[in-house]
Amino acid sequence: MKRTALQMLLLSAAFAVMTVALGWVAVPAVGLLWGLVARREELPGIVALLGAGLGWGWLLGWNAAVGEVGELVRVAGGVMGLAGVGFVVLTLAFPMVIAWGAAVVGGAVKPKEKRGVGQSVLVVAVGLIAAGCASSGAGAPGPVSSAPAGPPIAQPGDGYLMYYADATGVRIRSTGSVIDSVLIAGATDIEAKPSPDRSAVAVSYRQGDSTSLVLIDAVSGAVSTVHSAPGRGSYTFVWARGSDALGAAYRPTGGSGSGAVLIADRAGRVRNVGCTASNRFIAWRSGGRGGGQIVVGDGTNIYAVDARDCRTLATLPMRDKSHITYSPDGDRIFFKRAGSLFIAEYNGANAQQIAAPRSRAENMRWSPDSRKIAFEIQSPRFSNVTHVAVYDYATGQAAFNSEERPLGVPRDNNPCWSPDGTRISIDRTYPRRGEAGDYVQKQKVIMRVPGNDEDVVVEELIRGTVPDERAPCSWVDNLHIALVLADGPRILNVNTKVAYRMPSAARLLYARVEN
Amino acid sequence: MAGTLYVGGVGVGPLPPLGPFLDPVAGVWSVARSASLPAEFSGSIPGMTGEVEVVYDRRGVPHIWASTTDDAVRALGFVVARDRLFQLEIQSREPEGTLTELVGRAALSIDRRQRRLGFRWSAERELRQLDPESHTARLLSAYSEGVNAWIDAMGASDLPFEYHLLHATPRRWEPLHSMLLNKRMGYTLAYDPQELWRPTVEALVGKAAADALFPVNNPIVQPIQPNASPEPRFDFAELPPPAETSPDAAHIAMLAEQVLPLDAAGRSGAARASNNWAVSPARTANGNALLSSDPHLELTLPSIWYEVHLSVPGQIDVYGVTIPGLPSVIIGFTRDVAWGFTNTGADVLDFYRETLDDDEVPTRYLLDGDWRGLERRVEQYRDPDGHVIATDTVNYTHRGPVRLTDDGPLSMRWTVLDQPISSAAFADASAASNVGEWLAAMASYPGPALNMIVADRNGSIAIRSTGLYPIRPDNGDGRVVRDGSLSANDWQGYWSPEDYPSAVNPAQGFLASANQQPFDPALGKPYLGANWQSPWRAMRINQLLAADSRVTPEAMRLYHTDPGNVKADLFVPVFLDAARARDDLAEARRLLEEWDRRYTKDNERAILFELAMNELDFRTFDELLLPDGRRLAARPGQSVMAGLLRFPESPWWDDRRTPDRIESRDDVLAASLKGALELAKRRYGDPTAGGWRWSEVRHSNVNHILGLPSLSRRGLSVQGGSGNLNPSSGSGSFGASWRMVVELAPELRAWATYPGGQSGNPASTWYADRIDQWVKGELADVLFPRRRSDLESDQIAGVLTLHGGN
Repeated sequence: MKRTALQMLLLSAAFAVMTVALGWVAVPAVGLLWGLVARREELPGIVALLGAGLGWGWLLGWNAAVGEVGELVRVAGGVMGLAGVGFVVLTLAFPMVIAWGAAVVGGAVKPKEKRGVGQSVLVVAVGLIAAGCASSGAGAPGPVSSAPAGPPIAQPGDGYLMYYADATGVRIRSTGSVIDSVLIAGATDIEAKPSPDRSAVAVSYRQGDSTSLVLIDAVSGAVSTVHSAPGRGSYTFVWARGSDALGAAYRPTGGSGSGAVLIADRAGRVRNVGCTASNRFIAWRSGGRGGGQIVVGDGTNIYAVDARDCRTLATLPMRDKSHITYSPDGDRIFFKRAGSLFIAEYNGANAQQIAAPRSRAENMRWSPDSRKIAFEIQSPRFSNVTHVAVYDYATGQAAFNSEERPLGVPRDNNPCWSPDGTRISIDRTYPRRGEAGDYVQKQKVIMRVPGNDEDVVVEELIRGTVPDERAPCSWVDNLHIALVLADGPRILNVNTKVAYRMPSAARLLYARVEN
Repeated sequence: MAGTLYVGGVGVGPLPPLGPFLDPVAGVWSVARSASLPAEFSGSIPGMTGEVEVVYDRRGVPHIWASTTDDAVRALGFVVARDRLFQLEIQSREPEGTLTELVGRAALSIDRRQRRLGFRWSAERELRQLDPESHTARLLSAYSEGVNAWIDAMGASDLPFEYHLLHATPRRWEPLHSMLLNKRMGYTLAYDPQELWRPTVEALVGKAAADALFPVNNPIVQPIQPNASPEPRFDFAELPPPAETSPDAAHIAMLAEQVLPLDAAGRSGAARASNNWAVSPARTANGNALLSSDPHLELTLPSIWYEVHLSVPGQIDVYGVTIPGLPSVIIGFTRDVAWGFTNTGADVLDFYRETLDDDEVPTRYLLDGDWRGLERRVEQYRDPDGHVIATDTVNYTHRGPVRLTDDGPLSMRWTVLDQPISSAAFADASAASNVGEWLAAMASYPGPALNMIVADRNGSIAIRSTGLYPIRPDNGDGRVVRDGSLSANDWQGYWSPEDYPSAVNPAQGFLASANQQPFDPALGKPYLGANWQSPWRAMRINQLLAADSRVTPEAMRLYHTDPGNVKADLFVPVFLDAARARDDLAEARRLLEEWDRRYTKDNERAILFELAMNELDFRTFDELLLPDGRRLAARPGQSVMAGLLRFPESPWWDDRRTPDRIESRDDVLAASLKGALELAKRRYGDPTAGGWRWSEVRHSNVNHILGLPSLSRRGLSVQGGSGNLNPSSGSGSFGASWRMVVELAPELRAWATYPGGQSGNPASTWYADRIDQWVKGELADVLFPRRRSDLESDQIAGVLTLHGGN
């Protein structure tokens, strides 16, 4: 015991002296050396842990003796979100953890009978170099953080599970396990909507002489039918926010057959709400499979109804309005009237103009949290130039940026929210006269909301001629975006810009990262 | 362990690398070791010609004794760097637009704003034009030598706290940085782009009404240059009715929002609530002239000011405050003269609508039928590792930077970009021995325009609004965007100093400025500006000074935090009258009547009045509501509101949002008071429960320059409110940045303080030691020794000896 205490004292002195000489990097170096020379039965990790703490404790005591540590501890702790005592504990715990780990590593790699002295020296040298690398910049400045502000983005694996459509029908492909098979053979006129939690996807399609709406479990690929009708018709369908239910309405083409408003749960149980006059499912106001309010329509009016019995709670005439779109929480709508863009309560009350006719607002999209609207507006200065504006309900302001970029004044289109609502993808087009002749460059740009300072060009889409059709709005998750280019769809990691290419004739319906 | 090593060497999230940060020898802990001043220490500054002794007094103020002015300035750079090194860097990087190089991408939007305003472009041009043999060049060079000598000499424990946090090291100081800092002050004081928000107001209510709501002349007249009237004059006229809102108002408002984020500081006016005043010997108790300086700026830790005494026998002997980065005392006194400043608020910025040869990649602009080349400047923004993270192109015409807005390209002419640094003027003024000499020395001061008040030991007092004032063509109106394709629209020169608003030894025996309109409009002077501060503070200080014919230094001190409020005296009776016949307002009326209209800390009724005034603005000027229905496009001055009260049936009282009825003045006043009572109860509880106490509801906040809460002093309870001489409103982060009272006695006496402390080291006892004093409205006795030997040993905290080096 006395021997251990003496070892610890001596080691603490070594930690203190070496820290004075080399800085904090001395801690892993001394710890590693100690692990190499100490006997296993002497618990080198524990001794190093205590020695490092004590060694830095000596140094803190020295600071306290010659300086004013009281206030410093308070402010430094405050900066790190700690109480003053917490900052002291952190300062002592930091070298203790490193010294312990280094001593354990040293003990584990110390030479036994089969290892020579040279090997030990090599281990020590590697340890020192590693420690030096870890402390690179001990004297050189660097940023607090080089990571962009905002919520962290997870780094998923490389595999993708995707559903796509081609001439054979709806197919499933897993890049990780190299599966590619037909899920719904012969399907045409396919529309798909993933659930908000992206665990399922609803797909409507025509197959032969019938029209169907199914739910696909995104992970297992299991398919359950929600509704099927003979003849040609179409579905409008919307997921409840909690992803626990799908609301749908069937509308026969040409008036043949009867319509239906349905609510299906994830287990495949389907309930007819009883809205006989309505044939469009527009939004969820509240609730899910258990009830609440939904919004349906008949082409003339929009109705907020009780999801249990279709009792009408509010009526919104569609006359003189277009582009009526409910927010994901169902509390508000935007719509256009006489060229102006308005925001209003769900029943049309308290409409406020947010863009005048000359703004020519187009391609409006709600943010996932229902608090913002992204849309295109016509630049009043440049003909043929559009900007992407973001209207923030909380502030009542619509901000947009039309600044000159290195390649000129861009035309921004097709704003598309990331699932977490922190970013928008846009299509950016540069028409510019270059020395080598006219050319057009189109980019997919990721923009942080609401500012534009974090623009990241993730893909230069086309150089030369821009086709009329726009790239679709398709975030796979917060890190991946699906692009449809002339050579087919691809999924792109916006950080690494690594892309996965799809077969050229495929239309991507849904994708997720396989973990 | 690997994770800990990673966190130690690289850092994670917003944290610095923990290894070097926590290192008890060279890391943040070392800051504790430099917190105290050594009793004796020494340093060397290359280029210094003689030995300089710096004696720190018990308040941390360095008294610098040098044999030449250049050496004194070198020593000033050295001691300022020792106490405020991080502040020096961040205050020069901000106008330069290089904060990203220090703090990373988080500052990119600030940097972009600053570069587009052209500060660095202007400072570089100024440096090129500076005669290296000039007085200013010598001062800037000497100051840089002092700062850099400290940087070269400092040990690990001298590195300021913030550098540890940012894992950065200080950059060397250059004369260019002082010039940038000077422009930063110009931005704080003289950036008021009315041209950019006026179109929204005109679209909402029409041009005639906009002109009346935001008039060139303030309708309450009590000018800086006295007009021989002991009382304020009220030039109230009926406002023209509001026109119908233009269908394009929403779009114009959106355009304005696009460009106005650049202009938040200019719109708030918060930086301009400064006061100064001086009293002739005939009206003071001791028969000596008295002077007070009370400049209001953003409150920060460290403070914007640094207190210092410079003594060069036979040349200068000046005491006061400097701004870290500038080589001179800005506000202060000598043995004979004392001076202080408030912001003039003149219109010194214009916009021109330019015609460019190409919308997207312009290279030329049209002027008098010819195409002229644009000066093109590619601005690159770098992160702390030197990587380019963004690029901008900023074009310049002969007027200044061009901003490409969706309403067309606008170029900006601004005196702040034209004016050179004024260090020589301050240095010359520091050598003046009387008011006349001081005014002559400062006649060349270019700006930002300041109301300079000065008094001397002979008993003279004077004031002059000094700075460059543009002479504009035609009617001289600076509130319109002019056609940039015609050189005839350019400025035609600047006013002559003889034409500046000024007064010397007025018959009334005192002078005062509080950012009010400098001239009486009745004088018919050319356009000087329009966005004058409400006159309440000016009226109050004039009221106090006129009422006391035996003013003492103690009375001057008390004026700084005087709780009286002219605005309340004017508006409270009107609210009470409107509520008199309304049973539903009995409680509100009773509560308001209980108030003595004084903004003392323990009063419990001022909050009701404040809320009622806010309600009154929104209910009266509903025509100015933006399409979101929640914000006003701009808020007319309260003196305009005071004038409107004279016209109870004016259409402005009608609320457009209630088409079925027409409101009168008293309806709006009553509704405002009622709304205020409901809001006050909702926010602060029952009026008798203590939650309405002023000290509970309104605070001053002195924030650290990086906004770090643990290094800030927030929630300070002070005496004063909106319209007081010590205005406390809004975020509470603006306020009295320096308070000084000087008695020009045969042996001058002075008292002063500021909200902070001399040291930028948060572990130092001098970091925020003056805050309590400032909160209480107290001042410290200033030590102004004639000789080094006049300082007693118990007055000395430390001695620094500086000598020349290699």
